Amino acid sequence: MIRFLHSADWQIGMKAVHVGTAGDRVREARFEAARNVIALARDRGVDFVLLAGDTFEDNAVDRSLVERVVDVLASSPVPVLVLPGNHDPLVPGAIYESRAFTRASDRVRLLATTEPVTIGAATILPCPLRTKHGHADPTRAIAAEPRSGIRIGVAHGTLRVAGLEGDDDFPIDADAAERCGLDYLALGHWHSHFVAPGCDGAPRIAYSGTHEQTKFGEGASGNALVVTIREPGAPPEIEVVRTGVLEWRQVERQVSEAADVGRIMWDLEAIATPKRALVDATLRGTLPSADLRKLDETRRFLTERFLFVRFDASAVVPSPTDARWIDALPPGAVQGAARRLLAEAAESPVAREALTLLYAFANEREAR
Amino acid sequence: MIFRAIEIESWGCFTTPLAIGPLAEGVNVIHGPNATGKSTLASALARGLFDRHKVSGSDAEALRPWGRDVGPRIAIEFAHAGVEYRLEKRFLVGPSSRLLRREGSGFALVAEGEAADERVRAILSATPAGKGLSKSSNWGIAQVLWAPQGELRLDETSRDAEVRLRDAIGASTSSPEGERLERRIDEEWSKIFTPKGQLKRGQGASRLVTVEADRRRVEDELARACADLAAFEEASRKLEALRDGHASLAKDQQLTKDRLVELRARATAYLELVAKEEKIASEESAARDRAAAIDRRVRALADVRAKRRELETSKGDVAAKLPALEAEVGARAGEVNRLAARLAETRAALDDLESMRIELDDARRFRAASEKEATLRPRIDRIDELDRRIAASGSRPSTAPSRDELSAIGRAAAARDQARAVLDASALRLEITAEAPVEIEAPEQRRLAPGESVEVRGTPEVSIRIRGVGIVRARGPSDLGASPADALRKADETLSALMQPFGATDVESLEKRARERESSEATVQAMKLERDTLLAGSNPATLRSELDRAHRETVELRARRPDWTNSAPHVESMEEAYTKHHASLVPLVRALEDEHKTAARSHADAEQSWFRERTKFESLPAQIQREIDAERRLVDEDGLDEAARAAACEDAALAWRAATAAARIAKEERREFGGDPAGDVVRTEQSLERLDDAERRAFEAVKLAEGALNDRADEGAYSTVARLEEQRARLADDEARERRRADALECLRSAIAKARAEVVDLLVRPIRARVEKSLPRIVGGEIGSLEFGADFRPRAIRPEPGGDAVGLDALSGGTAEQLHFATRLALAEVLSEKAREVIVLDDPLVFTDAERMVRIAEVLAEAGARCQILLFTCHPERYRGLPVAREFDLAAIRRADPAKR
Repeated sequence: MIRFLHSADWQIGMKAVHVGTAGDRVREARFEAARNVIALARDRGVDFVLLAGDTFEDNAVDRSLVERVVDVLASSPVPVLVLPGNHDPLVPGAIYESRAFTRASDRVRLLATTEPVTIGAATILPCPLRTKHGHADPTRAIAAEPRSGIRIGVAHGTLRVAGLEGDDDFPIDADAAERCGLDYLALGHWHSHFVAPGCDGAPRIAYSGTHEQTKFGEGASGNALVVTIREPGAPPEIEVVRTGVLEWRQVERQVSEAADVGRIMWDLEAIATPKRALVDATLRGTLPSADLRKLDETRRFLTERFLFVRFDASAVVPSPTDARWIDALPPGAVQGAARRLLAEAAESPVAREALTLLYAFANEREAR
Repeated sequence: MIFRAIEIESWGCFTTPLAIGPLAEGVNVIHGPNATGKSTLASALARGLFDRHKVSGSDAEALRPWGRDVGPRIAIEFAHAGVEYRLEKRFLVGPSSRLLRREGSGFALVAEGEAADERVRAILSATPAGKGLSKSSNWGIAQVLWAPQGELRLDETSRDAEVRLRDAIGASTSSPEGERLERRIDEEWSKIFTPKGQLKRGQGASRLVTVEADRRRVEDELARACADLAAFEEASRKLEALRDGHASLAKDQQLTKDRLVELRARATAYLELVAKEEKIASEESAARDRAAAIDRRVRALADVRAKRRELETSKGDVAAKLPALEAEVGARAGEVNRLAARLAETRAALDDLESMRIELDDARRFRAASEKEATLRPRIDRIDELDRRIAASGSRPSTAPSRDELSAIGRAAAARDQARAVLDASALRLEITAEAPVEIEAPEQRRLAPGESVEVRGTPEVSIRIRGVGIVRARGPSDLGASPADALRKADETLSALMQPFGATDVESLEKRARERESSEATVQAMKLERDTLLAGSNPATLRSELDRAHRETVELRARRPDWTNSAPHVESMEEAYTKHHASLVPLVRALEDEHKTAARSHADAEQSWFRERTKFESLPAQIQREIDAERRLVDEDGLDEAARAAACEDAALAWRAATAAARIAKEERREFGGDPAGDVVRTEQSLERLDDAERRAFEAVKLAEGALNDRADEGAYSTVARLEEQRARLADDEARERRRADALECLRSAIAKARAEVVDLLVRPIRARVEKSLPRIVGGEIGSLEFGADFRPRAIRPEPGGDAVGLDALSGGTAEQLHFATRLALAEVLSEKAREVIVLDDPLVFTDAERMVRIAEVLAEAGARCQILLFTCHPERYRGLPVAREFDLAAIRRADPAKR
């Protein structure tokens, strides 16, 4: 029997353009999640850890990040096998040639060639990448041999599964496990966990997904897989274990009154660790002009509470039938302007913004 | 507010009190000639109402009458909101201000001092003035209702005036709260934009601009970081290429090393093959030499023996030939001797022939010299004679003129004759014809018989003395004949000068002499021609020399051949004899000489044959002996007999053939091995050396590139790019937010401006309607539609409905003036709708013609029904048509002033 931990796409040093000032925190979370992976390996007593590519976002990431990753990997009680992926391919100047990596402990092993590696009862058949882009199936490097012992392939690319066609970088045939005589093919590249059954119906090919979610909209990410193969040919037993530390919450709401806006806050209140949560709230609909300021209040509230908030209320338009506050404006040019803007607000975001501004100015005195 | 009465004292030109009133509630025309104080009075009204009584400064000082230290004073009675007021103000000296209100028949004090000033300003909606005199912008509603002289056009509308007008019209563009909002919006807008609507930059730049600048700066940094990242990737690719190159070189290097080992082994094998081949070839050579030596000896022995036999045969043959050869030599010698004797005889006959030829030559020379002597001598004699005669003719001096000289003399004689004739023609002539015998005493003694005449000629006078009668004298002019006489004298002198060299006095003798001279010269010429003919291009000396040579030759030949002294030789017969002898003798001699040469050659050949055979015969015994000696030496050298020598020869030949076969096998073996690999070894060594060098350089390049790549990798370019992209995204978000805010503010302002324009339109509509009604009446025709600003001032005119608006500058001076007049009236009428207001116009229509003035009077009359009009003018006649106007003749009023009187 062999038990190992399958993880991939740590993307250390990744850009976090979409999270504003929370970029550093998001990057830091990936280290935390990496430590969780190693801790998981220790807890479950696995025989080895398999990182199926893209441990780093790019070969030119800061070398201090490499040292930190190596420290994390070196803390593993079992061998950690690191496969170069398309983000960190094994090219000259690659991270894996850096002093930080080459001085790592023996437990950190780079799968630099297709040479099989034997650990315990398992033979690991690596398919390292040497370029950022390619259209060849990397698993073609594995010689098709009759099964003898537990054979575990590890590769990085796009599994060609009907209905899940993604980019065509390093396409991997859906029958790669059978073709190569593998008990399990550990894949990296997709950020969400995915399992493809083999011809025998057993889960022979799997993406672990990234160990920590990278952006809004990624489902089934922030996990690692604990894989157990009891004997050659036996179906792999896969356990999905949470490793991520951040919560990425997307909220979309249709609003028509101030109470709708308030309910968003109530919903998000349920997040237990708001400072580890990133929120993407999108609001649509109409609001009485007088309630438009509720949007700003909500934005401020969320921004103070959560690690990051993207609050898009640009599609919320003032209710065209609600002109009570405009009636209260001083008669003359200002009131005339307000009516004019209200008429344009449904079509013009600038008019909506102008109306909101006018509302704010008109209410300043009251506020004071 | 309307005025009731005005009193003024110590104010400008008004040094004494002046009162005007009571004023009508309608039109008041205050007129007077220039400098009667109309404008001073109009100005004093404004000063009195709006200026603080404590006003000071140079402008205020100017209110005083010139040179008087008095305090200007004014009292204005006016009605406002149903109350009658009296305002009394004194400026500069003892300044004071009092506001009184009519109560019953008198006035009661309402306020005084500054309180009075303030109260009046409140009534007029005016604002406090600054330190000096108040400006029209402080006058409240009066700012639009009062038009000082030359300022009919409303240049601005004060805020207070606008507010009053809007209140009067009952519509408003804004309110205090609205204005606060507008100010607030403007305040926010001006944080972002300049007054011209540009984004604020530099110091005090808007946040939008600073964020945009930050974003651009970050983008620049990002571009550099991206370039670094690209450089890192390029360095990676370069290193990969270098590593591939190095690996390829290392592979080539190893292949070349392997090849070199193989080639060196082959080179050793080749050298061994060559050594073996050379050894076998050497053995083959030795065997061949041995076989050849034995063979040569055998052949040499055979040759020597054959030669000896041949020599012995030859010796016998020569001995047999020698006697015959000796006999032939003798016969040939006899023939030669015979021919030589005969040739000698014939050659002796040739000597006689030569003597004949010499004599013949002498005879020819003798005859030629004799003939030459005979020819030359008479020619020379004739030439000598001619020379003598020519010389003789040249020695005689000539007194005859030449043809040219004679011609000149002829012309001079003709000129003299001409001068003489002229002189003669100009002379006076005195002729006396005697009737009785008279005696003439002068110029010459002569007697004249009756009927006989005497004539005397002369110049410049002639006279005849007649005895017993006296002198008869005739005179011409004093210079009569002077010029012809001079001409004659000059002609005589010229002629004498020409003839004098020839010693002649008359021209005829000279002409004769000339003819003689020409004849003589012709004779000499003929002799010279004959002499030249005789010389025939030579000269006398040459001819004499030739004659001498000919003479000496004849003398010499005669001395040599004495028989020619008396009789000359006959050359032709001598030539005939010589030719005949020569023709018979010379061919014979030549035939004998040829025969003799042939015989001599045959003799020589015979002698050579005999000598050769003889010599051969004498040398043969020695040759035979040499061959015998040679045979003995050859036999003695190997000491073998003939059989043994033949066996040895066969053995050597067999050994040679065996050695040759071995050599051929060795050569074939080497040929099959191929060429010498030494060259390939050298080339491969060189190639390896180059590869070593290239591999070393490639290795160094790889190391350098690795160093460079590591340096770049240490920079962590991707992390920098990531950080900068995040910064850029944040700044872009900020910028978008700021831009949205700026756009929203702009949009808000724009919306307010549009709304205000709509409200303004509502506001100005009553004004515009009144002006559009009154102005066509004034100008007497349509003027189109007018555009007014929110400040109630006309801005443009649209001549055609829907057409383009044009500025007021396009209007004529008169029409523009009437437009502003109509506007002022319209404003006054609108303001007077609730309570009658006063409009003050100081000499307003200076460009308006009389026709329009009539129509203006009508308009004024109608306006006077709604508001009070104070019209100051120096042309009262223009307003005489106003039926309701109250006139004030300022000059008359002043005349009525007792102080002025």
